[in-house]
Amino acid sequence: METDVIIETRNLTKTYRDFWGRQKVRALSALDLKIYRGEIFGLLGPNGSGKTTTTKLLLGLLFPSSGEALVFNNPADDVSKNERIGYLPEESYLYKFLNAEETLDFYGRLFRLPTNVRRQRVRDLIEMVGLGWAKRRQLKEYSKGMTRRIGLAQALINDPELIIMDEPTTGLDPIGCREMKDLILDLKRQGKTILMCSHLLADVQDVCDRIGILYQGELKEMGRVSDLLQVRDVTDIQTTKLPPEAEAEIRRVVERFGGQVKSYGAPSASLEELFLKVVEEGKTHPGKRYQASEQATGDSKPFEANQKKEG
Amino acid sequence: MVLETQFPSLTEWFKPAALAWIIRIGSFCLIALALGFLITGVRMGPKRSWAIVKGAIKNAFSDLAHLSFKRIFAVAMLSFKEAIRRKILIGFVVFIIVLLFAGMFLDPSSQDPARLYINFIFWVNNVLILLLALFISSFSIPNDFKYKTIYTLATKPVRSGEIVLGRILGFTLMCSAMLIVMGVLSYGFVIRSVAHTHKLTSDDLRYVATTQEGAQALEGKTSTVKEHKHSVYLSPEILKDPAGKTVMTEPTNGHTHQITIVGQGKDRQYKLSGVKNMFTARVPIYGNLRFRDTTNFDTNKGINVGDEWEYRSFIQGNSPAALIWLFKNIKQSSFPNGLPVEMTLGVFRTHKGNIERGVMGGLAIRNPDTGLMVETHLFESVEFNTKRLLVPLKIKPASRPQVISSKTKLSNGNVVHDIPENKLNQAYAQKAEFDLFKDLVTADGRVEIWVRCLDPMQYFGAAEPDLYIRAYDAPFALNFVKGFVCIWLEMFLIIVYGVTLSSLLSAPIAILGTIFIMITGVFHNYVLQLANGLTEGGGVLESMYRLLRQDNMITELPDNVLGDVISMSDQVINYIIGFVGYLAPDMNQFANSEYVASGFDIPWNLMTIDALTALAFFIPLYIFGYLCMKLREIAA
Amino acid sequence: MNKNASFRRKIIYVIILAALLYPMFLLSQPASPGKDGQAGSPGGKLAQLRTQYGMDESELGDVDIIATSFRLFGLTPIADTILWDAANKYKMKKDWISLAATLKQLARLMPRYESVWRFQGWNLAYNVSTEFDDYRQRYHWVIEGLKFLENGVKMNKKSIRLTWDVAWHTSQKIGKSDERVQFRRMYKADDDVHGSRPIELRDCWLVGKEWYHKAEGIVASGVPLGKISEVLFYSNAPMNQMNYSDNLEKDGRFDEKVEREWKKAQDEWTAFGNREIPTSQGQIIRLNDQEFFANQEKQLSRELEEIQPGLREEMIQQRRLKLTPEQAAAYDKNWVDRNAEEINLANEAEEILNITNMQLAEKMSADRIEHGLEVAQKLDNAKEQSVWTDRYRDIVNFKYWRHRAAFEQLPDVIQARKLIYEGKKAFQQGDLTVSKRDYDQAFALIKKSKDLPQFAGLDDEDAFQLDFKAVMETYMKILEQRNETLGDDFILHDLWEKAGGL
Repeated sequence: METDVIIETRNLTKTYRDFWGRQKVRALSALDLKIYRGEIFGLLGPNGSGKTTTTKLLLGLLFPSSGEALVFNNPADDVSKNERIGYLPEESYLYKFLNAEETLDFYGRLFRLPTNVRRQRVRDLIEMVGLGWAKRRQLKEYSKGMTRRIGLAQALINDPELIIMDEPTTGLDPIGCREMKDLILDLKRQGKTILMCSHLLADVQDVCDRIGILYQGELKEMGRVSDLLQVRDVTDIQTTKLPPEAEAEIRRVVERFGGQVKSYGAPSASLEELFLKVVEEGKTHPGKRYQASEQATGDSKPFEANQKKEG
Repeated sequence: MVLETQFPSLTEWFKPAALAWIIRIGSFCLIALALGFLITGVRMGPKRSWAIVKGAIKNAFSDLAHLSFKRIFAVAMLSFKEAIRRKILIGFVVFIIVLLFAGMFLDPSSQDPARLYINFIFWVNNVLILLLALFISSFSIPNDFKYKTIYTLATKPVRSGEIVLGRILGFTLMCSAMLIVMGVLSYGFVIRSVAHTHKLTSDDLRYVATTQEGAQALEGKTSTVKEHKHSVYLSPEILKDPAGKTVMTEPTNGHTHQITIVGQGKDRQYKLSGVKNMFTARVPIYGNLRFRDTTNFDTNKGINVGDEWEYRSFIQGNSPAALIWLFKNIKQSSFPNGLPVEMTLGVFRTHKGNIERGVMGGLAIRNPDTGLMVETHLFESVEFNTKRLLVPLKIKPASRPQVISSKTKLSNGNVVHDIPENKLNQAYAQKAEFDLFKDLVTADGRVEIWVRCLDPMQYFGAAEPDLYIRAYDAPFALNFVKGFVCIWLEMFLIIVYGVTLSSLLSAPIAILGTIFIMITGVFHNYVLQLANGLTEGGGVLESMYRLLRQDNMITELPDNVLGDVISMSDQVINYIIGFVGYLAPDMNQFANSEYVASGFDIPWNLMTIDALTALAFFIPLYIFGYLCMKLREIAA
Repeated sequence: MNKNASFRRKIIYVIILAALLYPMFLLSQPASPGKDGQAGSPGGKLAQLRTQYGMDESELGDVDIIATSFRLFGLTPIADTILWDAANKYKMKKDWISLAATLKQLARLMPRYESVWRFQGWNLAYNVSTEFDDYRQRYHWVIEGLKFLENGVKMNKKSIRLTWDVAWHTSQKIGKSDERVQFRRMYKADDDVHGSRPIELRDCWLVGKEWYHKAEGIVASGVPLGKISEVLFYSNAPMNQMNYSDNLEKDGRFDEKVEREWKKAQDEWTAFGNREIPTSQGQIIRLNDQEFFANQEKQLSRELEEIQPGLREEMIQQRRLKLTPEQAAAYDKNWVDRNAEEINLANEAEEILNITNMQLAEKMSADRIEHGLEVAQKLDNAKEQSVWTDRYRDIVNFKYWRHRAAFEQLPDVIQARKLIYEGKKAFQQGDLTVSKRDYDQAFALIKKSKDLPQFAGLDDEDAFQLDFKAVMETYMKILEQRNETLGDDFILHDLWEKAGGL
């Protein structure tokens, strides 16, 4: 199934030269990449591997040393493509002397949105990122989380088809992180394409459809997450809680089929889930404190698997 | 007013200026394109480079077509807010402080306080607003790069041209608002600082006899305020029934006051008004000046009496020598009461003569078509003062009228008469009274004014703007505003330079660059002279050579290799200097405060020329700024 | 708790600040001038110190914020260069208003630089004023220059030169210029310049004299004269009095006031003559003493020779033996016949043959030598005093003016001057007979007076002859109009000959 190629790079190379023209750093070597409509693509790699360089090349903030970068089948430095994209950088590069409303309004004007559409979007976005209480304060008074959120709002002001995110979850607390991931999945459901760079592997694993791994400017691995991470030679079964007698019989069944039970027991939930649960309870039952006696008995409240868990 | 360079009329100026502009910009663009083609051709082969060049041109036009006013306005609003929130208003505070202390700086006892104050206030406004504009405009784009807000901006569909233009617009709006407020405050300051009044009591007045039998007048002086006082003269007519009448004091220090007489007899009081007639904006009509020498031939220049400053040329007294001004387009409808002539002559005495009396002169009107010349006034000259004479509609000649022609000697020795001798009709002169417009002004509105010096061995001198017809007075406030508009144009140029240069360079370098260009603009004439090799003492290297050897300016360069190297290098350097010299307009044409200060209307043609010049510089600078922004690798 | 503590601290600071204001006020309160007859206040301590050291700027209206801030930032040289350049440019373009304003700014910038005040004050009064054709405007600019200098004096109260400049320019520019008649007239009527000075004292010479006295006062208060010549310095005030008296007669006054003023002039000149003046050699002389020392020299010289008569001739003879034959020959020759070489030789001979008084005394016999040395010493001293006093007298034409003051007091001379004045007026009105008669009468009176014994030698004085020549100019015109010539029987024929009139 040939879907829209939103982003394509052909032999994309970027070399930083010093003042005298000598080669200094080869940031990206001969990258060949295709990103299709509607998918979430994760670009992974250690620091300095070329992820940010790739995004900047795609946005037109850098010029390629050789090769091509194409967005919507047009060269990346074509300004008109900007009408359909949104960019969420790692640091928020916004004007500190404006307040939230003015910021969104300014960028909205740059898209020449009709006035009522613009105003409506500004209101909606501010509410969506939860900054309604601070919308009149100048951005220089915002915390990091707040600036990330307003950055996200400005990336979405034009309802873009493609959203490029640089380290979207880095530096966020677990709740913010969760919200960001939920938002990314929501955007995908709306049919948008997302390219995100990150070195937080767990987050990438949670949301991305396809990933590429860069190392020292070269693409080392690319493919569907599920394909790459699938462990072929193991079968995973999850059941509701069974009585201890079941264990032996299940082992026998598995061995009958030629396999071997590698592990048997209660799985661990993720720390994220625990954390969110505690926070949620804190909201609904304020004043409830941690009881030291529980620890003494060694019997802390067990984690109920049938709680909210999104996959 | 001293006008060392008179500006041409708009129609005269426009064609050659526009042509020069098109040629310069056009040739510069072509050269730039050619260079680009060559350089890329060397690196990538001619076919590819031609494609690149074509693509670049196409891009440029497409960008131009896609310029959106909405986006420009958005960027402008952004810059406006940026400027305000960066607390630029501190400049305002400085302005107020300077105004408050200006009083200590200015000379209240000057004979022309209006001129001093107005010049001062324009200077202060000029300097402050230029500094303000410079600093606001030069930091904006570099800050975008420094704080990387340009990344967010560049990923929006805003064109580089819009960024540049929007910033220019925003800063211009901001600075204009400040200029308006400063202008209003300045106006108030000038009017208030100069304002004063005097006291006049009966004790200050004495009775004096008049030429009429038994009629007495009152004469005296007002109290001294601001180191001057006015003479007062109440004529017998006024004194017959003084209550409620008003009289003007004698003018001193460029102004008068109005006296209202109140009460009768012992209770008579004199109330003086504030300052009157101090702030004017004359609209002069200038003529073309030529000189007649003692042998009756007309020439372009008179005699130099040894002044270092060659602005004025002189003619001899008690001889046929005369100063002749030719006026055009003088219509009776514009001058229903006659011609108001104002002149400021220079006087040179070869001997003291009669010290008590000024050198006498005569003013005559001549018809350039018939040659009829009628002397209308005999006057006593007062050097450095403006004399006002009204040539009435009906003229009784002050001396015998003549009919003469004007002759000039050409370079080949031939003599040319403006009216052939046989056409001179002496009958024209046989009248007791002459009508100004019927007898002396031609049908197409031409008339000549002749000024002669009557005392032997004394000289009158003049430059072309020294005698003019005072057509009418424009409102002073309007003229004040015009002066501020000229300041606004300078400010606009500074903003354009600041934004443009800062799109390429860092903020401090952009500021220095703009200052450098402004200075070049102020010394425009000198720089051009230098570039064309017309200055004394030669070019840069030549002067340096002489300085090091402590030679004077006349010493020749050595006749060896060194001398040749110096000459040739100087030619190259001069060429570069010439190039730099054209980077900025002649800033002096914007500095028009002297008009306002001396009470002359700033001519509209000058203002139009200024505005067009600003536009002419704005366009290429904008293109340059646009290119710099576009070609810059933002995330590098 | 913390908020309270911080608040309390702030209140304490404010109280301390307020308390500090009082001593600051004491220190820095500026002096204020007196207003409407009330005495001004001397100001705080700093202001008093400033007055004491003559650095007055402390009156409130005079403090120049801009200039002070320029000085703080070290921009004075730059501003000064720019302003001086601008001043020259304005002068060239005859933009007088701007020039005056710029000069005042310049002076504000460097108020302690005497030379700025001096130069620009002179510039205004002498250069700018002459650019104007109308005498009234010339007068205005002369006064501007004088006012400028007076401001300089205010800023530099201990400057002798500036005060002297005011005196000099007031006297010379108004009293001696071509337009003096008009200037003096305007000066008398100028209320702004004189303020409350009574009409009688509104003469430029008298005002100049006031300023000269001020300058002398500065010297008396201890400021050294420096390179200024003392004899010239102290002669200025009495000379102004002389000029004043002279001008009275030129204005047409011939009453007792004139006699009184000339007497005053004479007294002041005598007082001047009694002043002790150091010479460049170091000794002190008094101009009046020249006659005394001349007499003393004569007496002592006779006395010296009489101690041991004939000793001098003896010594000369002895010295002659030391001459070489060439020197002797040259010396003996008549001086007109000597050629260049012989002149040199003769000079050498003269030197050798010269016997000083001390040398003479030393050669005296033992019993007379002590006396001789004493007399010789006194004689040399007297001679030196006489010579130097004479030299210094020449500098100020001392004898002439002494004579002149006395001469002009004679009623005959006053009458003669009156006759000359009226005679000139008559001539200008065309009445030749009356004018010639007046002049002739005047000449007779002059002859009578100048032949008096105490005025012997007055004839030979150049100044007297010049004065006479000026008078004769009109007389010659009268004669010409009457078709007459000056006869040999002209009563002042010798004087006219001496004056070079023939």
